[in-house]
Amino acid sequence: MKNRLRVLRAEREWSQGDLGERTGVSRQTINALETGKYDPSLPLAFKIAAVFGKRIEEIFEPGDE
Amino acid sequence: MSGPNNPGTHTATWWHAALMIRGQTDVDQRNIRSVWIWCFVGGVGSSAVMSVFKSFPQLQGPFAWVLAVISVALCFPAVIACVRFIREADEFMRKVQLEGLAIGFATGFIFCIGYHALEHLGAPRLPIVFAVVPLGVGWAVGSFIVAFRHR
Repeated sequence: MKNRLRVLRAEREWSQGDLGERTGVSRQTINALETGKYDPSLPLAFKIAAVFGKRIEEIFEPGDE
Repeated sequence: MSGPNNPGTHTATWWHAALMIRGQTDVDQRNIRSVWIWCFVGGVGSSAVMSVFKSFPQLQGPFAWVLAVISVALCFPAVIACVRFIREADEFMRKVQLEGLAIGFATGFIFCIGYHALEHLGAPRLPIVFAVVPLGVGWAVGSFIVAFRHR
């Protein structure tokens, strides 16, 4: 799954730790999401979408697999 | 949630995640603390009971059984704490720990089966509790491998 986390985070000048704090997960989780090594659970995806004020599909999209 | 009281969140690296020493959410920190405390209690309880049994080999009957049951019962809160930790863990932490535990379990299982065959070929007999070593080492190495892969 692809995502725009890094771009959205950069626009707000948040660090990975900042986003982790706002979504209640660790910095490592955010890093794993941004590098595409991990797909978030549905509750986390909703939290991330809420933090950015966007819909899930505006942040996450299916990958090539 | 992490916050000002948890300054390590921003600088924690993959090996901090593997060692579970820095960068966890507050929930993870609390649950990890609980796991260590109950593991300590269980370990001390089991060691104390084994010391009593070794010091008083004549100890038999209901009292000895009560002691044995108590030593086992003291380990159950650690199991509950571990399950709670995994259930409530941060998503990345859960992935690291579950894959680490899977590697540890597989390593311990293969060691037990494999070494049993080696014993028939003349390898020294090991006590059953020795299975804890490959399980623990496998879990630790597995956690490092998984955390490193997702660094």
